[in-house]
Amino acid sequence: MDDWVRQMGGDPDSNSSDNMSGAVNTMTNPTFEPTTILLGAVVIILFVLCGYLLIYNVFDIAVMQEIRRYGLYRTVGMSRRQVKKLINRQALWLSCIGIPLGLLAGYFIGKTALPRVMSILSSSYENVAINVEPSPILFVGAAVLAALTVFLSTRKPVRVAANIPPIEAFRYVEAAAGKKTAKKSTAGASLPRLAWSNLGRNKCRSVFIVASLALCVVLLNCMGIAAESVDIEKQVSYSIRTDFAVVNAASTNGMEGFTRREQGLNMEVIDAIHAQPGVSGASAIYKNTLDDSNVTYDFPVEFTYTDIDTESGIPAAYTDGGIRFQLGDDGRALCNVYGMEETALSRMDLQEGETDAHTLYERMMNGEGVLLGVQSDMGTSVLFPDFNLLDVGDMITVYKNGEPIMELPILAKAALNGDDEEIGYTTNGPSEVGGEGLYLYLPTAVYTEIYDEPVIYKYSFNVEEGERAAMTAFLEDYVTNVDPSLNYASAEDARQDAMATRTMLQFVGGLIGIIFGVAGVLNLTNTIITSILARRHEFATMQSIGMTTKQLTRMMVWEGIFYAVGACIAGLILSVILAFTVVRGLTGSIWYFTFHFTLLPAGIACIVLLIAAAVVPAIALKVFNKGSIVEKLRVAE
Amino acid sequence: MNTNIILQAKDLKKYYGKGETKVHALDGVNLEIETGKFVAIIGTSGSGKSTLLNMLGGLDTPTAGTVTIGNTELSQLNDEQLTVFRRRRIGFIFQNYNLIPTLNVWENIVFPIAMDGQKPDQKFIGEIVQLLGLEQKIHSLPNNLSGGQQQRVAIARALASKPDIILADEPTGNLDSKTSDNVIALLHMTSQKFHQTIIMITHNPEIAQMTDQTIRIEDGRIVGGL
Ligand SMILES: Nc1ncnc2c1ncn2[C@@H]1O[C@H](COP(=O)(O)OP(=O)(O)OP(=O)(O)O)[C@@H](O)[C@H]1O
Ligand SMILES: [Mg+2]
Repeated sequence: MDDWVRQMGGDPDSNSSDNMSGAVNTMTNPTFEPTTILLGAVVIILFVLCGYLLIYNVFDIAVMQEIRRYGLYRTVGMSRRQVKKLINRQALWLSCIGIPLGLLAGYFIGKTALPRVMSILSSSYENVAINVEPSPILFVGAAVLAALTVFLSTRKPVRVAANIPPIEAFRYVEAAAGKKTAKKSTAGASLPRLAWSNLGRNKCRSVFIVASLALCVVLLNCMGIAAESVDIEKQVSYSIRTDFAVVNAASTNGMEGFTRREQGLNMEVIDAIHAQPGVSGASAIYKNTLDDSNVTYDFPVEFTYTDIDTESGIPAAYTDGGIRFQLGDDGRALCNVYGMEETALSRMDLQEGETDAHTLYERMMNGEGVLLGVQSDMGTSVLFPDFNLLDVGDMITVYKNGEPIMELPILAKAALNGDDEEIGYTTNGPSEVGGEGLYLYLPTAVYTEIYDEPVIYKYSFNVEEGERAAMTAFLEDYVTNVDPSLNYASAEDARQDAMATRTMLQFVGGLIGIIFGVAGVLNLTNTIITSILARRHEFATMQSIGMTTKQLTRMMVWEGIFYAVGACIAGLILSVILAFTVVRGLTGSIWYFTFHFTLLPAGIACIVLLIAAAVVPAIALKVFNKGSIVEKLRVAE
Repeated sequence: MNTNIILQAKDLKKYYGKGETKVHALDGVNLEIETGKFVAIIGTSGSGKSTLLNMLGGLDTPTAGTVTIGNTELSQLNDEQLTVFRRRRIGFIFQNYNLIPTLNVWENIVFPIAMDGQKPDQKFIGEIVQLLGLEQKIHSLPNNLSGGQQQRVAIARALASKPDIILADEPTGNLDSKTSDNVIALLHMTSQKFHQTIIMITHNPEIAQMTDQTIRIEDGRIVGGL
């Protein structure tokens, strides 16, 4: 998501369409994954394209209107190169004014908008410090990109201006209707047909307008699909399996984690929760800590090397694949061991061996074995092969003070989520206690038998729907006023966090879409106005021989609508194609997306575009086609 | 009122500008034109010929005075009604042809009829096209036609909706004398064939000689020829 944030502050200014302000996030340092780079590149290319379409159009129109002047310069002895220089200098001047202005605007937009976006994000990472600093590299990059865009956009208009033969320029009429000499049609002249033939005057420009409008439709829809594809429930069920869970505040802190006995929950909070109405399916979850280093485990996994953590002084052993097992007093693995009630175990994702939770719990209660948890893919819950070191039936021997006390074969395997490991997305606790090594799950009775001073690290429970708000209020009050060392997580909070991702995608996507939409409509307005100014005489002619003002307006509205309809068709088709290729590919590569197709954003964009395309010509005609027919007819073409 | 009078102008005035720079383009013009006449308006440059013609055709509104065509007083019509009136009752021919560049010859000719939402009378227009020698050019775009051909298209356009009156502002101003004679002859011939009244501005005394009536204008007033 960082990549989207970094694109924020993108500035719609035509002269520097690509500037961004930097977001430097002190904790989640931008990681340059291929998808991130790809997305960034796509966005940059799109902005360049958008700028190109707009700048090209402006210069194209400017050159067309000044073409007589350039022709005159050429007749009086200016060389082709000098004409080019003249226009290039104009572009340079505009860039010199526009780019710094754009950068400045981008800086301020970035400065005001970014913290807002980051604050949405930061709700899911409480300890993330937000630090927005403009990066000089971004500024230089944006300026270079903008200059490049201007350079690219002016190539063709400059060439056209320079290559026009001096005499031709005087006769140069855009309405030359191409090289066509005849048009086979006796259908008469309906308003839509009149409008349609006007579009044909400058096909290239028409295509550009349609492209720039379609771009906005496509972008909005792609972002809309991405936002719609944010799978909220997938994220919720990954981070918490119950409605509520109370833990030590260390567990919800991404920098700490549950590692010591003293962090265990006391009975007071558990009793207090029980006293609340609507609680069900509650289970205390026990977990071993660094203070339980006298209990260790032996199992058929080969370690290839060992070392000692310089900070904690705890020795660790590693497998060939680099999986880290922290070691206890006797040099055997500490593991992450959990004790829980059947109700909690039944919520886990049992995948191999004994998959019936009740039978499994019974058998474990009889001392027949243990449940092995394996880290799994966040999206698909497929066990990670790297961590899947043991098979069902493999023997795990429990050692206490160096003596074997129990033999526990693996009865089943479960795919772990964030809640199984610690809570939410934080896994610091297990990582610092057992390491990445085995995750073992036992009934409370067996667990308390093995460990001398068993402590509860989490209390998980469901609450009747009607009582949830009250429970939230109760817990909020409890962790602020009664026991600040505690914290709680809830499915509702997880949902809010997940929603924030969607909201941000909608916000950023909407913003980008609107920027492109505005650029497209500006493009359209620009073209329509130029067209009206260039055709004033023609309009007067039409009016003199019987076209009413209403009909003239309708004709121009048709013209606008043709652009919009073209853009809508192109936009919708491209939206569908891109949705099932690029967007599905990208969302497929991130776990919390589940591809969900929609054409609603494109549909809405199309309606807005159609309205804008109908309104713009009507207004432009009112404003720019003033004066009486006779006056306009007097002006020679 | 003489029922034979198709067009009447009463005390027509048109002033441009204000105060010192005020121009009396038309300064009290009275005229009556009978149905079916071929009338020429002559006068020096800037005398107000075009201004008069535009007033008569309802393209511009007079400062004072009235124009009546048939039974309709133009000042009683709003902009919309005036346009509709124009496309049904008046055909315009301009010095610079004023064809629509994106439409081919046929589409240009039927433009006023199409704007009126009518089906063009194929047979009638076919006849005009043939009379004007444009059969081969029906699908051509105006830019590929000579000046004479373009003006013939403009004449066909003016005739197509069977108007009562044709107003022509120097229709031969951009043409050589041979082509001019040809165009005038065609105009004359078609108007007689379809019983139309023609009012035409010209600088050419020879052409004025060929008409039924000549109106001379000086400084916005009619000075003779009536
Ligand atoms: N829109 C206008 N604004 C100001 N003055 C105008 C306008 N139209 C015409 N005039 C003036 O009115 C007078 C009559 O013009 P008009 O065009 O009718 O002359 P004309 O007889 O048609 O001349 P020509 O033979 O050159 O076409 C001229 O002095 C002209 O300058
Ligand atoms: Mg004139």
